[in-house]
Amino acid sequence: MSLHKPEDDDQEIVRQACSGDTKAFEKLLTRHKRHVGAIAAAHVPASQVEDIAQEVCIKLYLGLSKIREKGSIKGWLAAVTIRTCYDFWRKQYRCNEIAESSLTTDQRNWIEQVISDETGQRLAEQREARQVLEAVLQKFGPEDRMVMELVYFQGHSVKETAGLLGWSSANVKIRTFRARKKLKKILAALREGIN
Amino acid sequence: MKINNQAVNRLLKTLAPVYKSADTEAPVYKSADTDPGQLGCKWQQDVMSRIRQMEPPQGQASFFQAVSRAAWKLAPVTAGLAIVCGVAAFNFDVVSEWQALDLMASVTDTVAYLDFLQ
Repeated sequence: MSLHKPEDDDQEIVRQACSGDTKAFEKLLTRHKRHVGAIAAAHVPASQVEDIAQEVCIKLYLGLSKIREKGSIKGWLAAVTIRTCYDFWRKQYRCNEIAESSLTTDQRNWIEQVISDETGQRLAEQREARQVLEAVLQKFGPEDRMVMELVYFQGHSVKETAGLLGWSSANVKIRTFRARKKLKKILAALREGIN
Repeated sequence: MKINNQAVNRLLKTLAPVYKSADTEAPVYKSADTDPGQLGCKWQQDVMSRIRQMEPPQGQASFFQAVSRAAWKLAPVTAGLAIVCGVAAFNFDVVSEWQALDLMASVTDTVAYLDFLQ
């Protein structure tokens, strides 16, 4: 059995790319673009994935020497992609390019059902579920949005989230707590609108 | 009406699979000439053409680069210190004493120097 790992290959390619071999870098790109694309697609709109992935690749090229010292390229790419997505949302919120959406009666009723109903599975399959998800995420700031997605929707631990975003664990805990509180407020406001 | 933690948990639990299902539906990108959800060859060509225009990545910074980087980092502190020293020198009249010291260093004739001090 061979003990040769793909990470060893990566290390060799990174070493070659560091010395200015663009073909080696292209090999690295071909190997990891799916990984970067998948992470970006989970956090930004589909229309932005290519731009985000391109930015990550430029950062990868500029940070090759750091990777050579650290070792794991996959982990590094995941963290950099997440942070680039976070920067994207920060920019969007700063430019006020987030459309303030108000929920329709159907969507409000859907939330009302989820809150009062025990069987959420059936409700998750409805069209309103996606629209409510979008609307709820839009109401959060960039920090809360990333924390919500990573902790609650993707199931990362606080420690993992902290590592991916480059924050302290305490910061992630506080953000998570605040995001929950905000969600509660949003739900309360929606309910008041219904009643 | 107050919303309790259970209601929030229920909403999050219902929305989590919705979020994940959005993940699994592979979007079609502009450059996707292969599989949907895969960044295509055109995208890769664009990235590579940008990379080729860039300088090769620096392995380890040379000694000179490290020193010049440190100098630039220290520049604001140095400038601040120079301003503080200048103000202090102006306010406490150190200039004349400094001149005296300078004179002391250069004058070899002790009699003349004592005369100067008087």
